[in-house]
Amino acid sequence: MLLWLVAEDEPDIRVLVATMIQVWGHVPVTFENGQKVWDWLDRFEKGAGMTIPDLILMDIRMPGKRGNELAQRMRTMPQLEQIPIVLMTAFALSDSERAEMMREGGVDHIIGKPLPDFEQLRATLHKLIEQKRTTT
Amino acid sequence: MTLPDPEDRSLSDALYRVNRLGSASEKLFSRLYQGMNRRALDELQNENQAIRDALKRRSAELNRLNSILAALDQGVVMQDNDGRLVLVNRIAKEFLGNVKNFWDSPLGDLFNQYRGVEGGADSLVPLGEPTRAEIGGRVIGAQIAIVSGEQGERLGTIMILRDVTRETLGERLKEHFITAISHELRTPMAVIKGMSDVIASSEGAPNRRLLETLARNVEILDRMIVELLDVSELSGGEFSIRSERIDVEDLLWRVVGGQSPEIKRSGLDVSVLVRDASALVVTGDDQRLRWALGHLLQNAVHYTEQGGHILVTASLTDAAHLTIQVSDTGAGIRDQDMPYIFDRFYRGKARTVQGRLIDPRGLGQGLFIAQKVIQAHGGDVAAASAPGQGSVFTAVLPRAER
Repeated sequence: MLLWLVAEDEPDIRVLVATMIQVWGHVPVTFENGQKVWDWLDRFEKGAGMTIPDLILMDIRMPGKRGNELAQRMRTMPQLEQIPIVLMTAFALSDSERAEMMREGGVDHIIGKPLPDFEQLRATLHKLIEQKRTTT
Repeated sequence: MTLPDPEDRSLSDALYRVNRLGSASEKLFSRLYQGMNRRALDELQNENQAIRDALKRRSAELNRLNSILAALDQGVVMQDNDGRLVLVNRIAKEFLGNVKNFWDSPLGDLFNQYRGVEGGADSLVPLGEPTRAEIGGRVIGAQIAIVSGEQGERLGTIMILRDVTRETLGERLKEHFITAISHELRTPMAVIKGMSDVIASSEGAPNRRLLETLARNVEILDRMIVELLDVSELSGGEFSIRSERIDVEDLLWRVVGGQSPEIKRSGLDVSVLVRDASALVVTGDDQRLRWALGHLLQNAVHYTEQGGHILVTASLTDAAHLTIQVSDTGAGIRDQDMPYIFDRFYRGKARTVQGRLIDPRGLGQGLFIAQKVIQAHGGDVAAASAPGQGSVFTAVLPRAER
């Protein structure tokens, strides 16, 4: 059983993603906007004892902080340095925007909305966790 | 008396002759002079008259030309070969404000860019593509042309200016709409698709929460599609409404109830105040009126920050009309946005007190729908606002006949 962090401001999408994660047999930890994740990172950095998630799934456009900003900060924290980060977006990104987020934000994968098929999404995300495990 | 000296005689004779000659020549010259004068005067007078007539014609022509230029709804600016502005008509003045604005704008550059360019045999040769420039909050479209005289000599350049603010806005709004609609339609679609996958792949009966989420998103999608169809009907001017008797107080509570999750999530509080409740009945289309008022409320919710208040009131205006008001303590509407807020897809640039741009989701046609629906019911809606002071939307509807 793995712990997956989910940050998504659209309530129904958040519920959907959380439900999918449960169906796949993992535990979702949900945040309803970017600021809440930021605050959580603050507490984390101050040494509050927290379980480290196995995968981080965040929307890009959220109130407070954007997904790519959060990813950038996470990559500066030793505990989260190697955790796979996946961003979600409903907006078309140019190749250069995509490349910038991957490079500067340390993002491993970007998925477009509407989200891919349930099975395909599952395969993609699990493969990512596997890849990260074998490389570290 | 002595006999005259012969010398004296000859002298006086000579003097006499000279005198005669003198007076004769004087007469001749004076006659000549007079004749000449008369002819010259006549000629001068004739010429004068001709010049006066020509001047009159020309000034009439000029007046006519000026009044045509002034009456044009296009701006006309002309520059001579030395770069001086020799003509700026009324509309051009209105567009540009003052001459300095003109030279500071890209249009001034455009003029200078074509100063050395020669025209052809035609009297008016358009140069380059039409250009657009933003001046004083307006988008001005400009076409520049060379003006040539009868012998083909270059007289200067002329620029025709047109206010294309609305067209430009329309284009931008359309682009925004395409982006917005794909996002807005995709979100409920993604939920419906995802939830169905989850339900299909999990064993046993699906849980209630999933089904509710699914149903709500089907409803959202359905509503968006109906509203899109409504909007195309509304834009075409054709709009049919049902006629049911609707209790306004009940309608308001249903409108507020429908948005209570979002209101709660946004940290706002909404009060409903109804006076003369039993007299507040309208005839119309319940669903569309609910959506119309829903858009007024949603607008208030979107543009009011956490901790704000929204007040929905209804009361009798007079024996035949009732008033519904939605007021908020939100960001308010800027003066420059006010004329356009009921336009389809228009979105003002509202900012919070901290200066953050408010950019809510949605298609940007809520107020457009609200106004059209209310007008289709024989009523109307207007807004009053000041930035930072909140907004008040007032709808007046005819009461149902008993």
